[in-house]
Amino acid sequence: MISALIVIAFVVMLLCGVPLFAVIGSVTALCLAVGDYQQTIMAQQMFSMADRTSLLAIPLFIVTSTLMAKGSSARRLVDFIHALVGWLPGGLSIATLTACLIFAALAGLSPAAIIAVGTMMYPTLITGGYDERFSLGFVTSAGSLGILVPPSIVVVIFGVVGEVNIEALFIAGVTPIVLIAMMFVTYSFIVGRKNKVKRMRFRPARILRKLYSGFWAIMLPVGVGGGIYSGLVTVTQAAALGAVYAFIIEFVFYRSLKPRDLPGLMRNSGSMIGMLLIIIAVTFGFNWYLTVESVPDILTEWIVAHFDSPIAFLLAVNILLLFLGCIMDILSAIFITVPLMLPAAVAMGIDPIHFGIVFIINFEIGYLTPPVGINLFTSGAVFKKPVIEVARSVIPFLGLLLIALALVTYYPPISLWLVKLTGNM
Amino acid sequence: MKSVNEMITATLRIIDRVISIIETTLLSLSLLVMAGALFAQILLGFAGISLTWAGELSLYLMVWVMCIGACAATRQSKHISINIISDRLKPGARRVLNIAVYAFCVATALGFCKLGINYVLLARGLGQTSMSLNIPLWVVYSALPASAVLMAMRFLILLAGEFGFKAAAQEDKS
Repeated sequence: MISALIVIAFVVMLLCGVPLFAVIGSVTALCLAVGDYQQTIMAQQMFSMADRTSLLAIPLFIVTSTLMAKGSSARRLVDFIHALVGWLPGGLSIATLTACLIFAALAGLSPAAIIAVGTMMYPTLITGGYDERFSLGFVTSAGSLGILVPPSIVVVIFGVVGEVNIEALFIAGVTPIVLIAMMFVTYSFIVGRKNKVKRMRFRPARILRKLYSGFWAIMLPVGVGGGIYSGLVTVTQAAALGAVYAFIIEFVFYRSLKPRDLPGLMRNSGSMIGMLLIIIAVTFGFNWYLTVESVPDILTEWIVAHFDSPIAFLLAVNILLLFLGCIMDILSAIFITVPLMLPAAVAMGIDPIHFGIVFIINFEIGYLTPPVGINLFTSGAVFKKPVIEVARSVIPFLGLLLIALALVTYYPPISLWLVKLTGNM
Repeated sequence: MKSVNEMITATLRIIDRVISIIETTLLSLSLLVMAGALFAQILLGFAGISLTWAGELSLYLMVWVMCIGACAATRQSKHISINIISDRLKPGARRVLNIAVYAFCVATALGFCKLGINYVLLARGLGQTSMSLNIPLWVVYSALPASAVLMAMRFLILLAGEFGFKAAAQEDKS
């Protein structure tokens, strides 16, 4: 009876628009009071984050991406990619996709990618000969892919909340990302043929010029990604090196940022970091309560009794997550559902890394579905189009993402083979 | 002669400025020291010198950045919340909902503050210190009550905004 009331209070507060950290925090306090536990347990669990080195990656990645986006590295990077692959068949779309991937990864949340890359590439796609509807859909969807690529904070947060190896998650994401990117590029190639898109000429001099002007900026994603994928540094170390590197290139080499910009930039990064970490901190408290009351165990038992195969379970998870993706953003969903669903998934014999990738792809789709698909609204606002028109333009891409989701869900080796090969499992 | 309303707005604006300056200073210092300390630790690590204190220091700074940053996020209304209902309400109904939400947030922030004070007193009583830097742990933990007070004020300012006292200038909303 009491637990039903608590669940209702949780849902009502959430739907009324109370900030997530306040919802989880107050519900945890309520649970502790009802269960006759000491309230200080909450504080103790919140401060347990001071023992988790992997969490340090979050503030550092956010600082890096703020510096790159407000400085000039972002633009230099996109210019170079455009020059490098723009002349290939379907090159313009490859360039757009790659740029979106890098940006979304840096920002961790894809609306930033639409704003940064979309405004640069959308006019280029149109003048390149692609029709308006395709260009709009492409730019809007491409941004959502980046949340699987390092240094995406979504992956880091999934790893921290679910206690899954973060390096392994990043490695597992490589093949699905390549798969989805190939589907998108193939589709754009077909559209390009139909629209008779002109190809850019191959100009080695231009590539070299852009390489020269963007060299230091290019080395940042290369270094961070390379360091993590090769196992040379941990994610946290890569994040620290990246942050200091971004400081040096933006303030010393390019001088695109000035010392007086620093407090504003740190304030912006800091409020983003605080907003994320405070939720993680209260989630630790909430999870402590759930665990001592063995809620995940009860749920797991129920699931194991009611689903006869992992495939049936994953199908149910997909439907639930696609639905959740329509009403909440990915970070809220991770905090609320991962502690409950992951133990059940593991009990069903599903690898937690595979589960993580499936989870994240579900939410890439959630970015594009009404009524709360953030990308639809961001894109509508940036390109001054009605949201309904944006929603129509992403339909083909949604279809491709659903196919990819089905493949990744029901054929685990797509995500796991590389993890096994690199010995992270 | 100023009206009472203008005086309230002016006072709120001063409080807002002071809190912002505290936040910006602490966030800038903490983030720069955090990145610097970890960078030094990695570089010296390759040379075989281990700086265990650097890792510990950055984790404690992260706790402070979390608390102060959450407070700063309140000003910019950056906190994650689900708005599918409030976005569809008429302005009048939305205002009522906002007032309820902000009032609840003030109470939650004060709750965090009380929790923080209790925990700081507990840690002080036990005299716990950190492993390699020997900092008393209550210093680290006091980030919670300190920033929770500021956050309660921030939500109060937002609440006052719903009653027409527009104190928080929106210049750093991004």
